[in-house]
Amino acid sequence: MGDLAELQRNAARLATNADARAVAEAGPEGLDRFAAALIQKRLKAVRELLPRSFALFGGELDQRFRDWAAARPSRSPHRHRRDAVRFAQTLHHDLAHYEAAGVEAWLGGVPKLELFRLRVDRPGADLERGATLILWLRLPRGRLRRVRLWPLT
Amino acid sequence: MMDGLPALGVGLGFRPPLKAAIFRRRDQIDFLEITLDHYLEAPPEKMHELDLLIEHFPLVAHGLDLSLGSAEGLDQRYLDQIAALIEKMDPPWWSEHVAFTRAGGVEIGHLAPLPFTEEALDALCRNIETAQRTIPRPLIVENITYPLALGAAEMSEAAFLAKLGERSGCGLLLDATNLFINSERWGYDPAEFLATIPCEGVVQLHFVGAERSGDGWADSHRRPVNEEVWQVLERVLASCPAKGAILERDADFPQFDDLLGELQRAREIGGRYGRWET
Amino acid sequence: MATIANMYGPDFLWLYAGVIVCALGACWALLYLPGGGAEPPRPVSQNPDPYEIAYLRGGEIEVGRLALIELIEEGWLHEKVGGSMGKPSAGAVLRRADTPPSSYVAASKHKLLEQFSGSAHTARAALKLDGFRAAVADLVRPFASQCERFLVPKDSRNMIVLPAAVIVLGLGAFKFSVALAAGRSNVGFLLIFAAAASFGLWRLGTMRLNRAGQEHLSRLQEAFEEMRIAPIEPGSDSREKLMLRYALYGAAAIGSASIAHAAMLGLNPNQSSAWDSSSSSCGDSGGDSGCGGGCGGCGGGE
Repeated sequence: MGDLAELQRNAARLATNADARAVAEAGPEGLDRFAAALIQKRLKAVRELLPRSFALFGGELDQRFRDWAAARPSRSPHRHRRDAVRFAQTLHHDLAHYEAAGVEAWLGGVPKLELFRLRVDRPGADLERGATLILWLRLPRGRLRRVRLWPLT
Repeated sequence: MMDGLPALGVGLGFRPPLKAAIFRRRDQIDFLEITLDHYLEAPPEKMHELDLLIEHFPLVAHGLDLSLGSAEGLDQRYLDQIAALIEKMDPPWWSEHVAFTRAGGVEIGHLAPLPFTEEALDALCRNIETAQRTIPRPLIVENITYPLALGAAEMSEAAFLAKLGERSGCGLLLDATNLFINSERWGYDPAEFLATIPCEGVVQLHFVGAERSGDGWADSHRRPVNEEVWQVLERVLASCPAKGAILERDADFPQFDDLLGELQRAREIGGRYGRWET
Repeated sequence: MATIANMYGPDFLWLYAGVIVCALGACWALLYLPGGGAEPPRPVSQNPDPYEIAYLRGGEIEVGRLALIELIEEGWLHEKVGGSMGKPSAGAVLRRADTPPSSYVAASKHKLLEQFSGSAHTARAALKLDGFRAAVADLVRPFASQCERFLVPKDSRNMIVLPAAVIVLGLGAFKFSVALAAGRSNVGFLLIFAAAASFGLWRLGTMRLNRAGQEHLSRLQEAFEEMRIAPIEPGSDSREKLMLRYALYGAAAIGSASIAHAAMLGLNPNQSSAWDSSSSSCGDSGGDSGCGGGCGGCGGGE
């Protein structure tokens, strides 16, 4: 291991950390674009995983994600789902919490019981207030199920 | 190790949104390429899905995160995990990339290019050898697009791939779209590239539409195959005895008939050069 | 019996729980397990028959509903204007079209359509008509025998579940009467156990598919999962997709594809379901892309 290892370490750090790029004396041409494209790819995936949250918050969430992701490399496996769960934690909104809970349940965090203050189980972004208790669990054949325990209808 | 591999024909990269259509039209799909990372530490329903695919289709396996180009060596835990999956799938070959995805404890989350140097070649060959000790099945490695160059190159990409094939004995997964994009970006002729690589070592192809991006091209994997890529694909198939080709569409899916149309066109091109049955 | 009658309450509850578990377990093993085993699973068909699948999933009543959907789709049946709706769960009042549509009705559907000649019916009422049921039985006949391997035989169900019910509920009733005769009122747990056992026996008594059947249906539902949630685009095969979707997943799936159909059949497409698959909300395929992403070659994404 010689120059190659150091080159790769530097590239990995620069590609995934905006602060590192800001203080780097010089970087390969195009590294900024590469880094931006990486974050755009992550953003696209997380938008698919938290669609209602992104619809609720509008365009501002795109930039919030870019800023958040700029200093946080993704982690495998299922890196985009992990991104979605971690990012949703920063949003402090029941709808984001609900969507992220579903993703977390998929990743293996079942059974999962969560209480929400809004009717997050109803479609749309305009949510009415109302305590909502949701359980995620895996049935014997492995398929993930979401059960609304409260309200009953 | 590359001798005697079966000619599989033309197929699709498996994507869950296409699953129902894939099952309903499976007589028009010769084989599927499975992305290994989607089934690592995956929930039971994903493993049921994999079981169903294994039962109904010829499969090849494609890894994303082994980081074959890492100077630090391979992640043995990850290697063991994909080895178990490949054993379960029993594919005729499996593939990875001429790239690195992690270094210094950082996961890039994407394929980063290697400098075309002897040192990088050494690292690649060491890692390929390690991988083949754990997974004694034919391994083929894919050329990626590289929007930037990391470090100074000692040779061309084609020469690098030629030396890699010679030293490691592994085959090539030639991505025709990436070849087109790189040739446009870095100003070389795909014919020269094909004249330099060991064409007899090309086992499988990837193809998909290249997307216009600024005054260049990007491999967004969400566009129909454009004529430029069809031309490169035809050149590749004319020169290289590939055993299979995979359409790598990831997003913005059209009507499934359109995708099948692209498969059929690729099938006909390959059939003209005797690569597989039409 | 005297021993049981005199048994200390908590001790009896342990015994009763054991009897319930053994009885339900035995019923389950005798009814469910015989299907499958040595025979390999049937491959997923490229052209699955929606009627056969509906039959597997829910029996002749589901075949009847599917037939109504097809007749509505083909234009042979439509909602009677000004018809009395009655309860929404009965569905719209359906009548035969005055002007035959350009499509022809398949011979297998003639008898079904005859039930609407001269009379309009709600979906629920139609499904109960002798003539309609006979016509549905004709629809089922071609594949009924090959489905037998997937079904728990009705006779077996009765022969196995009834004796178990007699033992379990009889034992509970015996102890209950002994307790009341002795003036004891702390029978709450006994009632709870008996209620749970009753529910279990009812589930086993109405179980339709054996292990092979459950696996076969699950495989079909798994293979065509995306049909359950994806919108059905207009096209030459949209009717086929709608029917397959209903056959595989039932009312909840069709509601989103065609609210008109759901309402006509007395299904409520707008009611948010308490139980549903989590995948549609979790973006099950979210992020599961392959190599690309505009970043230069294949990506490490999922």
